[in-house]
Amino acid sequence: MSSEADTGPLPLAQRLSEPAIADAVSYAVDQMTPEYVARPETVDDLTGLIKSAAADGAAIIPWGGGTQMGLGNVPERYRLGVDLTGLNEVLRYDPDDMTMSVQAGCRLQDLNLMLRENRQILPVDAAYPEQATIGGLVAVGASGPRRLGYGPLRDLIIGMTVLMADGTVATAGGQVVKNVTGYDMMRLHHGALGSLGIVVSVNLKVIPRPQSERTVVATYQTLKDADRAALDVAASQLGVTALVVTNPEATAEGTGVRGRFWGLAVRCEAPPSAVVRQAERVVQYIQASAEEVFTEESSDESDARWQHICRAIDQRRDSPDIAVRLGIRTSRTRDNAGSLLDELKSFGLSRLTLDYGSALGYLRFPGSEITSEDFTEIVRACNRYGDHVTVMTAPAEWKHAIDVFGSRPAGFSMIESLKANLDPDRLLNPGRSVGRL
Amino acid sequence: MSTGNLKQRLTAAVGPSAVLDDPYDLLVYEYDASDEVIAGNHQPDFVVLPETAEQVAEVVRIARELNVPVTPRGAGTGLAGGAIAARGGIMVCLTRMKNVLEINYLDRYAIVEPGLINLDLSVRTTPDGYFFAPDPSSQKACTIGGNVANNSGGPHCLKYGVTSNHILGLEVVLPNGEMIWTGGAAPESPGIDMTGVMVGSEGTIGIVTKAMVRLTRVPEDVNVLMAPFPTIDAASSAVSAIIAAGILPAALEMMDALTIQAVEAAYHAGYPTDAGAVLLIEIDGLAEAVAESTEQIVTICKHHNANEVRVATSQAERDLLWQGRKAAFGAMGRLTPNYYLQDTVVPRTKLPETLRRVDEIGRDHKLKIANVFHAGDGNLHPLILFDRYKPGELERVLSAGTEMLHWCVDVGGAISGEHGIGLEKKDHLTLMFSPQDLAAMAGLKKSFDPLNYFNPEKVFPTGAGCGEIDSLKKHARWEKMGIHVV
Repeated sequence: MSSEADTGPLPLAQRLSEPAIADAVSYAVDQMTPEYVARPETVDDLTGLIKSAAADGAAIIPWGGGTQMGLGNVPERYRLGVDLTGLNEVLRYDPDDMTMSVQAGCRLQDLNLMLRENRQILPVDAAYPEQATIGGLVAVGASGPRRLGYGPLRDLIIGMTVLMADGTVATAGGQVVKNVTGYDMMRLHHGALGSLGIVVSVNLKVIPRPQSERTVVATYQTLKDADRAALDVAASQLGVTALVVTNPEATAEGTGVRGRFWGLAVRCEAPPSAVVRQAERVVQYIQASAEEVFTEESSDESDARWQHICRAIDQRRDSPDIAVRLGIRTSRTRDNAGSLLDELKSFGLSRLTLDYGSALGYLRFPGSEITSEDFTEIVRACNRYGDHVTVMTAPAEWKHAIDVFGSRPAGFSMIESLKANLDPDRLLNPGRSVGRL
Repeated sequence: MSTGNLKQRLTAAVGPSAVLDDPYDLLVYEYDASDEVIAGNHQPDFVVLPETAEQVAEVVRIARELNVPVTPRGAGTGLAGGAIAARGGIMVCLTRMKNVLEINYLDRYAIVEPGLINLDLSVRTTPDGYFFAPDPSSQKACTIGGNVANNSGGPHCLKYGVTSNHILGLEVVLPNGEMIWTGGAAPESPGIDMTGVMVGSEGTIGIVTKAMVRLTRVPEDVNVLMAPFPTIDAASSAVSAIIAAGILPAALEMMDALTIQAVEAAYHAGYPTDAGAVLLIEIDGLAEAVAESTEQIVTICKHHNANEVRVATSQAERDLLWQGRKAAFGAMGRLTPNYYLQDTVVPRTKLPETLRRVDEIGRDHKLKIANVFHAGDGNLHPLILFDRYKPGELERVLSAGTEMLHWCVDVGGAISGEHGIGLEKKDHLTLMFSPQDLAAMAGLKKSFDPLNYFNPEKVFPTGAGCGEIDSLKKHARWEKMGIHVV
């Protein structure tokens, strides 16, 4: 490194050898394969690498566990894939302070296993926690159904270290749960899809692990019935931590209930004797028009149920399905989801998950059964009924024609200005973020 | 540009009754709730009191065109000098914009104007079973716009989180004169989280003209416990034990003996004046869970030598206990002509040693220090009591304050938990952040406000000699970012 300080960064070709074809392909994004792939194991290595890439003008795509790499517009350029799973150290964990600092490549499941020993959790949903990394979760900025009870990942982040495109390492926030010192740069990078900097490490607050949990599941003939039950629970003081309605296909997968029923799943988390009463009271709220109601009577079964539900929402990058997320506020869910379903009838919608606790809806279509014209029509219909629409996964050739994040948000000139100031050479994920940033 | 012409244009924008430039009228706007001997004061050239977002935008466009600094202000209850017109110019005071524009319980939000007083919103929605969770102690006076600017906290953010967690969207006038909506009722709208970036930016990158705020369901049950302890140490270890037991109270507050004396003299809230410290603990949620957690907390407090644990049995009793806590700063007048309120945070486990250190610092500098704070969050509020007219006392107060900041940073804490940086603490920012860290933040500032005319002089440290944020660039890679300062 010292010689580099004198002579400037090494060219990438000297720093890295070209990857084996198999490696390059496994780091492909939207069918673009990188010229180089690297898996740095220290922040210094990563910094050197980014400086080299910057000197070469090489576009960089950072990778975590890869579970969400289907998200984003088709990259404009892609020469260097940076796998951050080598940065997987837990830098500190202070159980009594309920805080931790972890490198970007730490996997969610590993963290929760560690936290479990101290009866704590990081209450973040991911369909594949054994793969998903913290850095990836932060960059994507998506939170699942447990947002209702614990807030989004965004609100658990208390500090962050980011490698900027110019090779400087910038930290913001700190190691305490309450802090207004300096700008909240954590929120700038959360959900920015790595377009303004590469998240190197994240400081998080964790919470006491709920002492016990139950999940109440109910099935209904119609969306209308399920919606009414969901709204009743939402308006109650039962303090449930997740509340999701599923269409018959997703119900079969997520709840295991066979038949053509809409499903409702309600997560209860509380001290051991309280949770039993809580679940009983939930049942009273939702049973009136239900076909069937049952309660997962153990914490493990309850937890497993939600893992299924998260998988109906999310999917692996290599899945052939098309996935769309829409913002859909609770008060309009029944009407909008109903109308949307009518319009999408002919496209073979496979799963619809309506997260009443988050005001988000998730749709999945079997990719093999629809055409690119169908796809355009689906996106258009979603835009009519959603507050906002994001195409989470779709074949690259279809994504070319659209901005997967929909129309440019208000104040886009500020976002462009941020990009121009923080990544002037557009090295980080060029073209992938909102407005093809 | 003469000031006469500026006055004309401002008057045309907001009307004659909404432009102040009489020095007597301006006097009150020189200050906020910080002590001006510490944070400083400065008179704006004009105060405008717009009534609509369009008027705010128009004032900003005029200021931009004429290159006049703009400083937004709510109720002026800030404690760090954030709402002081440090370079003069136009102060945009938003207190006439105080309407509740929409309440939507089904989707759990309200849209309010920035000048709405924090408590007024909850007063309006609580009968329907909803409330706005951020509850700074000044909530009877402070505005929601100010809460957004400072990312304010309050006793209940232990469970409910700080203001940022409760802001779903914002209508903002940007330094380029554009007015935009960020965020919305459904989360995860694509793009950069402009709402999150705006909250806590202390009016340096935009002026909030409407806020879409989250409404939280009133919990089914609530218990307020008051537990006096013989010593601060005993109370601190009870705090750690409660957190370690996996209980998350809604609030977990501590007051020391000096504070109790002041509070009791002023309000007779029912705190025992012979205690070394008291904990005020609120538990809320599902009735069954509240009952279960209450039992656990009572056991823990007794185990840590609480003199007693009193559970408030009526709403009146709960309110009285809370009034004593929330009005504690005001009660300090019973003890001292002036106080310097620090707002630092330490990891929760560092509380006992930090409180010992605060006590030591007080003794070293021959100053009395009262402590009233958010123990559950590790957010301290040492109040250094003094008399500004006693020769030499102010210098000792400032040294004591700085020593506390150093200590808190050294044990892994932060120099402001909820009051903000403003003018008061900007030169201490370097205790926590490197030039590279600050350069990244300056990149954000520059992206929104390249002319550096929105609430200038705030947040960023004064560089040695040059007095502007550009002094950082010799340390970091600012040249590359092309930052220039007017």
